[in-house]
Amino acid sequence: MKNVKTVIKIAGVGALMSMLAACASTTTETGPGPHSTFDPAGHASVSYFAFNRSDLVQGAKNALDLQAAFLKANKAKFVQIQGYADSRGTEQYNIALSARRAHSVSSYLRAKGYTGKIVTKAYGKMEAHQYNADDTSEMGYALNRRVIACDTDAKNCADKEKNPLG
Amino acid sequence: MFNLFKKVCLCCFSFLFCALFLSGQANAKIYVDINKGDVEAFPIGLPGLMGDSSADQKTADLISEIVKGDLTGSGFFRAIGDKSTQSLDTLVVQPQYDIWTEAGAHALVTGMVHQSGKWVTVSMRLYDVLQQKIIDGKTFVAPKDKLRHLAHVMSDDIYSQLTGVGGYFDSRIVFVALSQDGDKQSRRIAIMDSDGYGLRYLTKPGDHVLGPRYSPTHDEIAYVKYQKGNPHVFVMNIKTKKEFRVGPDYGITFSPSFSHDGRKLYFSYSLEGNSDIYVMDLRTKHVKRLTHDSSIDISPSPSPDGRYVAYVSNKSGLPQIYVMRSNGRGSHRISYGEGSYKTPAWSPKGDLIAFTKQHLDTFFIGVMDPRGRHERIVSSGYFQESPSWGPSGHMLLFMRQATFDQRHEHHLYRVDISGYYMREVANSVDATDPSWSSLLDNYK
Repeated sequence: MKNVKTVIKIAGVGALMSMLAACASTTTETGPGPHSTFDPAGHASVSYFAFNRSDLVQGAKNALDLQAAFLKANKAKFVQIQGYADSRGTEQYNIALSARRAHSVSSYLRAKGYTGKIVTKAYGKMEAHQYNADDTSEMGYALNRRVIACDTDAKNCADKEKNPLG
Repeated sequence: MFNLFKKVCLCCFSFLFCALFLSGQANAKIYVDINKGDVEAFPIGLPGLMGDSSADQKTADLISEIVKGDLTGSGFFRAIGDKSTQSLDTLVVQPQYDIWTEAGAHALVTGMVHQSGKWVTVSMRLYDVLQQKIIDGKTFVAPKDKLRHLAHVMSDDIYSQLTGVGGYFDSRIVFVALSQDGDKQSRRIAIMDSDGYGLRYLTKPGDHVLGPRYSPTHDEIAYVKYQKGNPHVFVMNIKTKKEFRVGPDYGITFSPSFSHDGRKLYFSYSLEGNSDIYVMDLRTKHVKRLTHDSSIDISPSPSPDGRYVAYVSNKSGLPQIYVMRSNGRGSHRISYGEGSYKTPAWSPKGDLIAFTKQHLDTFFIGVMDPRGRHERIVSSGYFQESPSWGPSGHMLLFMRQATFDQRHEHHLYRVDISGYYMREVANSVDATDPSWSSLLDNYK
């Protein structure tokens, strides 16, 4: 009986993993601008924010729903959350804004049942997106207004950042 | 007589610099109205100083060059004449006013330089050429290894006599020096004289630093350093490089600012995404919270009398400038123009608050009075920020980004509050986050 339960549990996790894998890098927003994603293979999500905002848009919530389920299924003990801002604000304001964005993601994962340790980072505008460090277009700015959340198995959050433009 | 005077001077003053009046009181006449904005550069005769000997002449030439660079670099003065206009030895005795009038000079600086042991003495005269009278006469004494500072003090004196406003040359700038280290951008806290000389670094290349602020005591800087991915405020002794971290072990601290007496440090502390303004007594380390709302509260800048604090909050949506009493009460918004307002900097005179304004994709450096009235823009462009006041409260220093061959460069600029005289600070390529010191004293 115990073995059957274990098999069912493994099958359940397997189904969830398959579902998440299918959703990997799935777009969860419509319209122009980068789309928030959760990549289970990379153990990381990227949530994008509107200008001067720290509240989660629906697309970001969808991506974090997937990540919260993944974290619970994998009993992840540790998540690192990195907040960033675009280059248009001042250094000081962007630190505060990126801290607030990171906290929005942290609070959402907690609300969705993740109970492990969370460490947040506030990078402000200091580490521009690796794919568009000098891009001063609206899309370039939008790509930098982001929060990356990754679990223990992602050795380096920044390395797990995928190019949202493909 | 000259040597006797110098000995008396050295005996009477234990500190390193003295400036003694040789003539009557300072003339109250304003020769250059720098508040007027669009004024023609004032023609001043700068033939150079005369040395007592050939060795003294070398020193005299160096001091003359620095003074000339200071005055003409301000934009308010243009140099007239040289050694050939009137021979220095006759000039020291008495200027031939008709020669200098014909040359177009309205004022004239002459002086003698004498070195003895470790000391340099400069006896300076400042003349009104048109009225054919002496405006000012002083003697400056300094150690030989502080020649540049002596020259800057002289420049400040001349500037002050002719404009009626205090000078800014004998001061320093602390800033973040940017450089590219492979794929990574390296940021170091750097310090240099106001004219770009004497550059040295205070932090290591690997440190991720920003937002340095100069203490009014000149002994310390406060700055932000990233540790384990988060920013924290540190206070560093410039001479010993010893430092301590401000605030608790948890949360993040940033945007430090000293009180005008250097005894307190204002900063932002963010916990769980909520940033508020705090103040720490640097002697007792006692910390007090000043703002208590759920908005982003950052960039504190105390008034020179210590009674008020300007800061930035986004409680109305966009970031705007607010002013509160130093106990945290009575907060009210003062910026109401289009766009957002950030990085307030209260002037040392207390009459103005400088700011960075952002509207659409344009950035502005401007000033307004502490009630938010009489807003005046002194510079605009794509990206510029972080105004910092000069010692006398009529000049601002700020960072401006320029693009060359698709590469963004950050430069420091100095501008007067009329916005008319803007100059790039020497040796400030790839520099950002400037903080301008008050006037130095005792040649620190």
